[in-house]
Amino acid sequence: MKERINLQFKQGQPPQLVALARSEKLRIAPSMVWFVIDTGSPMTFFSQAETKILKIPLEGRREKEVIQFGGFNFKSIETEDFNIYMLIDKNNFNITHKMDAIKVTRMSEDARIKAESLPSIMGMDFLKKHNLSLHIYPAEELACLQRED
Amino acid sequence: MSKKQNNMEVMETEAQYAKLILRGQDDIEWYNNNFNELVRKFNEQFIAIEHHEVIEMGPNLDILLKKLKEKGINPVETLIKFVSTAKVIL
Repeated sequence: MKERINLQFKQGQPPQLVALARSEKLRIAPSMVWFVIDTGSPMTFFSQAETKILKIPLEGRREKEVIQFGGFNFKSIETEDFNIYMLIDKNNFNITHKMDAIKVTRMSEDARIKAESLPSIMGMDFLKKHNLSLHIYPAEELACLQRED
Repeated sequence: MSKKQNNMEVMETEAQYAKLILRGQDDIEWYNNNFNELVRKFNEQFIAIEHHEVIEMGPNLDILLKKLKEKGINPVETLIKFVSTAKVIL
């Protein structure tokens, strides 16, 4: 059976998903996060702003690679398993995913402000791992993720 | 705690999660629909939205978070956006 997760989608903007993120290990209570669904991204990560808002501790964590995103260079940093809660119709379901966070490498004030304006990204790794497909109907301003059972 | 009580608590928690997600969806839709007016008022500012209302703003995220903390508002229960006319190509 196919299940649908509705996305927020307005002409001129990418499809967006509002979800809750929770990590038992990091003691992060369910927190509202919004992801841009980006099929051009091979990876999924919390933005620098979301990392700050959720108070995800990054000290001592493994730095994975430098990524270019929104015109800036960021370090991607491995965090922990997060439960990502989404809505199918009006019911919750959650997916466990080991999330990365990102941190800008240039630290000028202007660069930091601009870097913190960028969204969290749900990329192809997430869609593939959790058997999700993306459907977009631009003329109707409709978008959804679809999951096969 | 009995199994029935436990189930009830799980259902209440799930309902709270769903409510928060629905509120976020509603606020992001409001943001998208009112973008032109928001840009006019808050261009190049970080804003926090709750129930179709901009409850706080700041020129950077740190200042916005500080203002929310002073008001006793939990930022993880609000929608935080940076308002700008600049289009970002990811």
